[in-house]
Amino acid sequence: MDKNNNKKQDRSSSVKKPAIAKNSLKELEKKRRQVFKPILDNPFTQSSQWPFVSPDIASQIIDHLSFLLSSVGKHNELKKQQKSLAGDGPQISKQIVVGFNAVVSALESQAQVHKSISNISPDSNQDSQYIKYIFVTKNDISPPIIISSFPVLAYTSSRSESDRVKLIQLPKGTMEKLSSILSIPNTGILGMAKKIPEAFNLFKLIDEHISDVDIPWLHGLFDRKSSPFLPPVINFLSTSAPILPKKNDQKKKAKANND
Amino acid sequence: MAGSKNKESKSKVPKVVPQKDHYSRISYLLNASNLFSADSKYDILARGYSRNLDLVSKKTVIKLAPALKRSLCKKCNTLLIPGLTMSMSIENTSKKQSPHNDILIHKCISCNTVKRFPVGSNREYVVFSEREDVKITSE
Repeated sequence: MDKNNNKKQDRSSSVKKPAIAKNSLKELEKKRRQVFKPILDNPFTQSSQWPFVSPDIASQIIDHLSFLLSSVGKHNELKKQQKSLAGDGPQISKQIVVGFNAVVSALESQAQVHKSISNISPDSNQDSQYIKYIFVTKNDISPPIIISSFPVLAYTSSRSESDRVKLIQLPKGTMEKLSSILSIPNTGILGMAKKIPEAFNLFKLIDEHISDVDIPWLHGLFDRKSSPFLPPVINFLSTSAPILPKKNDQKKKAKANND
Repeated sequence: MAGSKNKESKSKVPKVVPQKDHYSRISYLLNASNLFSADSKYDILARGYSRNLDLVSKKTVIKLAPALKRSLCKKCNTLLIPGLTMSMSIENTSKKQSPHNDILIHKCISCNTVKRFPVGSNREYVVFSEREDVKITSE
């Protein structure tokens, strides 16, 4: 801090000659005008694609989840106490993925379906491991850049247009609940496979009340012919710019010459 | 107070964008790149379009939104679509696993170039162009 101050003083004292004190860089910096700079935004919007979940449905979902996950949580707690206990845990724990990295990598491997040119029938490989439901505590995770790509990821990891991955955002404060139930700190992201017999009611509720993720600009994935054209989105930034004297001011020159 | 100020500033916003054709061209190239990146058969073509996009924006000195710029790979210009051409992960190499060392990693699948966002260091961070008092969205 001290060093900086010294430097500043040095610089200003060397630049500031008494004659042009008004035009010194420091003075000029003070006078700034407001400008609007155009900026080209991404026409493929990433943020506003989260399916809506009404608070009533959300609370029901949380109840279901806490019931389902309690057995997994108990097992986790036991594991913590006795490290030698290396049992498989309840059946359901195989069908559930917890945490950002695990969920994302599972979804990415699902998305490989679209990459292979020779369309291998997706039903053949690991039907039971198809992660169809993702629960994200959207408002508990910050900054939003971490989860901003989840809608797109949910869309690209879907198997087919009719069998899409459901993305469920959970209200604020759910992260604490989930982590206490599972006894894993900071659990904000959960993935669930399609075939969990215990969760039949939960999935039915979700299927009925929560719409699929829709990413219009990726429709080409499932239907080669339909990919919409999106017009440019130009926004403005309100910033400031310094007021500088004109470099080649004809009027001023003329005046000077006349004098 | 803030609301009125916002209104005032909104009225000053220029209605005409200079060199709009360049903006349109860049956006069109992005659309084209997206269209072809849906099929991995055409990934070179898609990359070519987005490379063109990048070059045009540099030559014409047009400001691109960070969201747009981040959707292109810096090295090979692939359009980064999570799941298809990009993989994400969160890395934390600290011994204590302290949350402020979280780093979000975006990795381009085709050239393995990695973009690292130190997400944990400032959880409240908002990109300058996305701040509420700065960004003015056109209708």
